[in-house]
Amino acid sequence: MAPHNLEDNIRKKLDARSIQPSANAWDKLEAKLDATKPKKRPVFWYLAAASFVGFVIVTSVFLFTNNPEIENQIVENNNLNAPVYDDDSKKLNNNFEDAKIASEDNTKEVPPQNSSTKQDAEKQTGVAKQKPALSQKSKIDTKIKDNRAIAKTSAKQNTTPKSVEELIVDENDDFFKNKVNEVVASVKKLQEDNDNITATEVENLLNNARRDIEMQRILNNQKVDANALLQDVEWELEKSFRDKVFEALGEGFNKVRTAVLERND
Amino acid sequence: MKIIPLHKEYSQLIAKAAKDNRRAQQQLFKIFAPKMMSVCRQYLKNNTKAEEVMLAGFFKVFNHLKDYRNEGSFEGWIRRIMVNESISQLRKDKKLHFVHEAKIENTEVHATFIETSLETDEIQKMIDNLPDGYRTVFILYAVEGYKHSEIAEMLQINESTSKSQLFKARKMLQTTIKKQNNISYGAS
Repeated sequence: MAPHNLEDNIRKKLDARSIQPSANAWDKLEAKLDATKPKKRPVFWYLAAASFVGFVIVTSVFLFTNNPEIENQIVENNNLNAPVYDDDSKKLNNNFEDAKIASEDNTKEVPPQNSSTKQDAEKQTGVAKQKPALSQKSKIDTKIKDNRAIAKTSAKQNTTPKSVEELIVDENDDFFKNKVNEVVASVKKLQEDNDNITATEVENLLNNARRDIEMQRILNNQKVDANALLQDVEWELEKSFRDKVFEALGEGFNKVRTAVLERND
Repeated sequence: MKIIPLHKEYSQLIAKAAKDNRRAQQQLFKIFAPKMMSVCRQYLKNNTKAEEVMLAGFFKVFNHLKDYRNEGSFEGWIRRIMVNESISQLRKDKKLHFVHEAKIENTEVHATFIETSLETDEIQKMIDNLPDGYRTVFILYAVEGYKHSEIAEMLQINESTSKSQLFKARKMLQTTIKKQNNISYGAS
């Protein structure tokens, strides 16, 4: 037997050795490794929650940016509903026309009545003179009042429960009432000023009133052509820009010219 | 020479195992567990304890696999983890009491040529009979090849303590072998 260095022998033998672990050794280790996984899960859940919150924020921002469109849609809906309102106004206008016809009838009736009153005046006293005029006035008043009442009721009947529409109709109704009152007042004034009121005068008054109402309706519609507005602005901007460029060119040209001239001198 | 191709072979498995791939981890375990079990058994007196420590070591290996930089052999890396795990286990069990002994002479004389070829089981038995402190230092020095300075750092002891522990361990082993030889000679 060759002499052995004890330590070399021990090292070689031990290095060459391998001991098989028990059969369930890996299962134990795997269980231990899996047990540490829940530690990582919270991070995953935090990430998931964070991404969800981010998604919500992004979508909300996206929705917010889209809001104007939605609002526009609402406006468009109002416009779509506008025919109802238009119908209302038409009806109101019809009523107004009825009123006009009625008042025209009244005014038409005026001259003969006036003549008759004149004729009567010859027979009756001055006090009695005023009576027919007053009664006539009251007649017109009552007719107009009736018409207003009809307009009111028709407006009320035609209004749908939608609040926006109601608001517009109410607004318009007020305006309409004011107009009617104005017309009535002016007719009364005319009557008071002149005994003779021609049909054309009254018609002019009514036409003016109608135009005002139409204008109001257009204003209420709030339909503005955005493109037209933009084009206008662009045209103006372009114009000013062109002017500036031309000015700059002109200035530059003048400077160069004076410089050249001075040098020549 | 063979280490390099083997090392390259492992690198794919290691990369997968680092990403928590259980199958790759299991394969690495199958390859290295028996060897590491043997390493742990050098420090711990029975297989059950050795396996416990070996599993704890592999748990650390897989959790720190991302830190492994492919520098040096993978086996060496795992082995170091196993040794550290064994030492910390011994420390936990309060088995590493090193009494500082100031003067031990002739600690450098240690070449032990004995006309005997011990079998692995006999060697293990002999080592098991050494006190924990002696055994740990002896294995670290004679088997793992650490220097006294390294051992002193690992066990948080003085270098001289490490040397004295080794000296005592050698003495004990020699006497044991001599006794065995005497017995065997006496028997024959």
